[in-house]
Amino acid sequence: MAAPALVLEQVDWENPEQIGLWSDAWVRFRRNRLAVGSLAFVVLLVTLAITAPILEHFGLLQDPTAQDVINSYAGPGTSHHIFGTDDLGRDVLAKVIFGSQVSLTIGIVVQAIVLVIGGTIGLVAGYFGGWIDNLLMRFTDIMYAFPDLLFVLIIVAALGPTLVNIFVAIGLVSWVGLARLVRGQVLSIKEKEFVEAARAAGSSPFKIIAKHLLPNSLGPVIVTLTFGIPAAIFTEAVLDFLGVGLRPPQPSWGVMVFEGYAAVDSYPSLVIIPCLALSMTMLAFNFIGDGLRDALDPRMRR
Amino acid sequence: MALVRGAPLRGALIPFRRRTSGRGWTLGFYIARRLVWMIPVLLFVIAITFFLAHIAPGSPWDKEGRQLSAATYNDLNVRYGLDKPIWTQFVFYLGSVLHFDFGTSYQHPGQSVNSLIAASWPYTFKLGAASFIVILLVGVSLGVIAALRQNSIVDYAAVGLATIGASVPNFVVGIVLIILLSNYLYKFTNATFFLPTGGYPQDLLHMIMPVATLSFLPIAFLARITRSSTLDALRQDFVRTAWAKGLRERVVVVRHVLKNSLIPVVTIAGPLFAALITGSVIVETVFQVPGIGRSYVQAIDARDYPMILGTTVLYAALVAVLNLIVDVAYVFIDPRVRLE
Repeated sequence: MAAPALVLEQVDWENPEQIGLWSDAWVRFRRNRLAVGSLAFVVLLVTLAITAPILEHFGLLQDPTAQDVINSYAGPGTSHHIFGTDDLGRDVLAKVIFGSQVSLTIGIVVQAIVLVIGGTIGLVAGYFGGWIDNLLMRFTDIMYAFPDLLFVLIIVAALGPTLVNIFVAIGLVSWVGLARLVRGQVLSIKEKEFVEAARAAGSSPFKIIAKHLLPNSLGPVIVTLTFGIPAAIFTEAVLDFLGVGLRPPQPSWGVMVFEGYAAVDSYPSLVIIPCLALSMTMLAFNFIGDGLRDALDPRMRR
Repeated sequence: MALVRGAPLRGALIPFRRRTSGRGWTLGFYIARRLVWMIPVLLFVIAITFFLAHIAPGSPWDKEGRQLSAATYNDLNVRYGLDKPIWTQFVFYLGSVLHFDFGTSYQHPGQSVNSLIAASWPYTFKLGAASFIVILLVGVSLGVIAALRQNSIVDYAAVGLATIGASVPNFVVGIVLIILLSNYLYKFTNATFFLPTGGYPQDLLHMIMPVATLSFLPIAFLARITRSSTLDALRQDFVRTAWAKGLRERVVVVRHVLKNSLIPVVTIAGPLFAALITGSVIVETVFQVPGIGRSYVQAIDARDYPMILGTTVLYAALVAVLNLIVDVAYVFIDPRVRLE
C-alpha cells in the first residue's frame, strides 16, 4: 500500500515524527464535523441503551412494558411522560430507549456475522485463487441473485421471529458485498512486493494472510461494515413493520411504528417519534461512514 | 519508433468489417454463456426457497378462528401433494416450473399462482414504471446541475438531499407523506389510499404519494452518482477541448459531458428497474397497494408455498435477465468495456 499522504499542516517539520495510518486517519476524521457530531450521538445512544436497565432501576426511566390504560394516548410533553404514552399507556420515551437496544445490537451483531462470512470467503478466494476462487465466487454470484428482502422474510418465517434468528437472516443475506470487496483487495495486495518478500522468506499462507493481507485491506472493510450498520437496522425495522419480525410487547422501533401506524391519523406522534429515532441513527452511521471513508480510503484522498 | 509487438498497428491493419463480425460472435457467445449460467442460479434459488418455506413452522391450513380435525389436515395435505416426501415434492415442482406452471395458491383455492401474479402485477408495474421515469429525470438532472454549479446552493441542496435520502427509511418517507399530505391531496377523492380504479386523472393523483416514496431514496442515490461522474467527465481533456473550440455550454454538456457521465447511470438503471417492477414490499404495505410485494408478505404469513416460490423465482429471473441486458448494453455504450 502506498505511504499514506500526510496532512501537511499537522506535520512538525522541525521534529519529524512517524505518523501511522491510524493516527493520520484520526486527524482526518476529526476534521469532518458532521462525522464527529454523529459519533458523539452514537456514543450517547449506546450509553443510554446500555444503562437503560440501571436508569429504570433508579426510577429515571419507566418500564417500557408497564401498562397504564387510564393515561393512554397522552400527548408528548405531558408531565411524567415527555414523549407521551401509547394506546396502552406505556411510556414512549422508555420504549424508544429500550428499543435502541434492539437496533444497535442488530447493527453490530449483523456486521460481525458479515465480517466472519464475507471476510473469510473473500480472503480464501482471493488468496488461493484457482478452482477455490472459482467455486466461492460462483457461490457468491448465486447468493447475489437472491432478492434480499424476500430472502430475509423467508428465513425469518422459517426460523421463527426471534432476535437471534433476525441476526442470522440479515447476516446470511448481507455478506456478499464484503466478500467481493475483500477478494478484490487481496488480489491487488497479493501481487505487491512485500507479500512476495514474505513468501520468499518462507512465511506460511496463514501468517501472510494474518500479518499482511488483513491489516492492509482493513480500511475499506471498516468503511463497508460501517455503512452496513444502518442497512441492517433498516432491514430489521422493516421486518417489524411488516409484522414478520419482532412482536409487540418487545420494545423496538420497528414494532413501535407497526403499532402506531394503525392510528397514524389521530396520534401521529406515536409513529413520528420512533421514525425520527430510526432516521437519526441511520443518518449518524452514514455520516460516520462518510467520514471514515474520507479518512481511510487512500483512493478518496485529494 | 520501435514497434513493440506490433500492437498499435494490428488494429489498423485488420479491416473494419472483420472486427465487428468478430465482436458479434463474442457477444453471442457471451450472452449464451450467461443464459446457461442462469439455470444453476435459478435452480439454487428455487431449492433454497422451497426448503426454507417448507421447514417453516405452521401449516398452510392454519387459520385464525378455525379448528380442523386431524383427518381434514390429512385430506388437505393429500389434495395438495404435501403428504409425499419432500424430495418427491421438490422434483415434482421443478417439473411443473419447466412448463411455467407455478401451481395453485393455497390461500385462494382454485386460483393458479400465474393468474394471481398476473392480477397483482399491473399495480406494481404501473407504480414501478412511473417511479423509474421520475427517478431518472429528477435524479440525473439534479446530479448534473449540482456538478455544473459545483459549490452553489443547488449543489449543496442536492448533496444534502442525497445524504438525507440515503438515510431515511422508505416507510418513514411514506408515513410522513401520509401525515402531511393525505388530508389535502385526497380531500376531493373518495379513497384514502392508493387504489387504482382505472380513471386516468384519479389514478395519477393516487399514484403521487407511493411514487414519491418509491423514488426518494433512488433519486438521492442517483443524484450522488451522476454528480460525481459528471465532475469526472468535466475534468477530461476532450471536454476542455470542446470548451476551447468555443462551443456553447449546452453543446458541451449534452454532447460531450453527458455521454460519458451517464455510463454509471446505466449500470444502476438495470437492477433499479428490476427492484421497482417487482415491487417494493414496504411501499405496497404502507399504501395498501394490492401488488406483488404485498401479496408476497401475505403469502409468507399464510404459508402459501406456491405463491412464495412463484414470486421469488419471478424476481430472481427478472433480476438475472435485466443484469444481462445492462452488461450487454454496456458494450455498446462504452467501447472501452470488454466482455470477459
